Amino acid sequence: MKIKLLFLISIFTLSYTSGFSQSETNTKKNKFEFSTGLNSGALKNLEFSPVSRYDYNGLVYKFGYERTSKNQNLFNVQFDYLESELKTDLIPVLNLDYAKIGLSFSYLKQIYSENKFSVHLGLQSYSNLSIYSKSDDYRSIFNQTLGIASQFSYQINEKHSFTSKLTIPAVLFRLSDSSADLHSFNKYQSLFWNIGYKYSLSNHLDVKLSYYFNYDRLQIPNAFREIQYQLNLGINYKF
Amino acid sequence: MNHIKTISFLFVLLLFSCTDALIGDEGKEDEDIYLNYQTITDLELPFEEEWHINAGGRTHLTGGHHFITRGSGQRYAYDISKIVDGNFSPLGNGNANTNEDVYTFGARLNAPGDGKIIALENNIEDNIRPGVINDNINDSNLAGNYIMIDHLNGEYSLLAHLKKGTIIVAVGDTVVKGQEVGKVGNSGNSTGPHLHFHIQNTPNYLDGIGLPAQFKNYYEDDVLIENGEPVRGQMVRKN
Repeated sequence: MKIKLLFLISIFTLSYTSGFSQSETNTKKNKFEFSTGLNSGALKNLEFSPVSRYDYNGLVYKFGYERTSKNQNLFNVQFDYLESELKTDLIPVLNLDYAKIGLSFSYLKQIYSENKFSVHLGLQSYSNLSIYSKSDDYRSIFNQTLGIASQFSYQINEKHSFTSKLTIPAVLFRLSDSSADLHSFNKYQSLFWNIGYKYSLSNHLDVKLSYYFNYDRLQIPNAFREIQYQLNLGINYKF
Repeated sequence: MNHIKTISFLFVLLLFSCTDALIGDEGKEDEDIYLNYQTITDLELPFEEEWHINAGGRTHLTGGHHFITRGSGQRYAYDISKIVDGNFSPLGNGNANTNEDVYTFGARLNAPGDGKIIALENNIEDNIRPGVINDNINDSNLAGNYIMIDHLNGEYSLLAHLKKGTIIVAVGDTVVKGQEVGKVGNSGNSTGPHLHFHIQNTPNYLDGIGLPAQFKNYYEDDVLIENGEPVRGQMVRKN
């Protein structure tokens, strides 16, 4: 079902590639985005498993809204959902189902703009709920981070553009079944990075190919590490 | 074109080169313990008559403590209750209104192996009734009344949730396997009278890495087990 959905989106976006006029100017201030793609990740969470590394693969879905102000500042909201299975060949009896739901807010102020290149800088909040389950038993961990975000944009021409966004979370609030803790740089290191290529189909539609990289490290006795790579294909509706 | 080459290079670099390093080796010791650890101490079940394993075993479903943190030593812990004719209480399962209604409350507890008493608590009020945890229970007294035994071989046993005032050994005492040490209660983070038992690799209170506890010569559903780890749902007795 998920693969079919991915195919449908691909076909939908490709069909629009040849179907829309490119003559209108791109001045829209609001944008909805839907994307889906493949996630590959690795996880260590010694809080619940004596496993030094799980690997997982699955589909990720993202829904987003972005508003550009008169001053070209950016407000962005994004919801993402990932469903997968944590696997280890070493102790397969400890394999688990894994789901992750995230919600991010960011506000970025344009600090530099020249010709086709612009730079934004601001703050990003990211909340996520990780759910580990096996049959009817499950546990969850809630994370709330706040960090500094920067975005670099390069408009090649009317149709083609690149965007790269880097976020470095500074504080983490973590709530699990057994603890509630606040961590900062001394114990928590994290990085979100994405880079995307966007092709403008029309005044109202873009297609976007994005790569996401995410790393989290928590240096506590119940060591936590997670690394995610995602390759996404999405469509933007501008209005 | 150069942009695309650069992005492709970064993508491939991130995808294939850094996962191992970023996830790290923490947890290898936990994996080794899971796969290979043999209990050093000559352990016997620390109670008389036939008891039920409420939680115990190495999987998330049977163990019940996998999700409760590596750092507290509880990964391979047992929760055990006395059952008579399939019931936890002479009033029938689910009908116990007081601690005294539960067969386990006040049952004799023995030292599971030879060693030295290195810590204990004997003055915490038992929870007022099954299903209710007293307001004064916090991270510092989760085990309630407890006994910690140093087996003088790198293994430490914790017997927890004992009945207030029933511990009959003192710190510094030497105990031998089978010696009475106290009685089961319902103190600390306990939802009903039961014994919590685990072994860990440090002498500190709820701290360290949990170790699998293999018991010698006990009966599991009337079958003699010369060396084994009881699992959730089993009825066990030592003779």
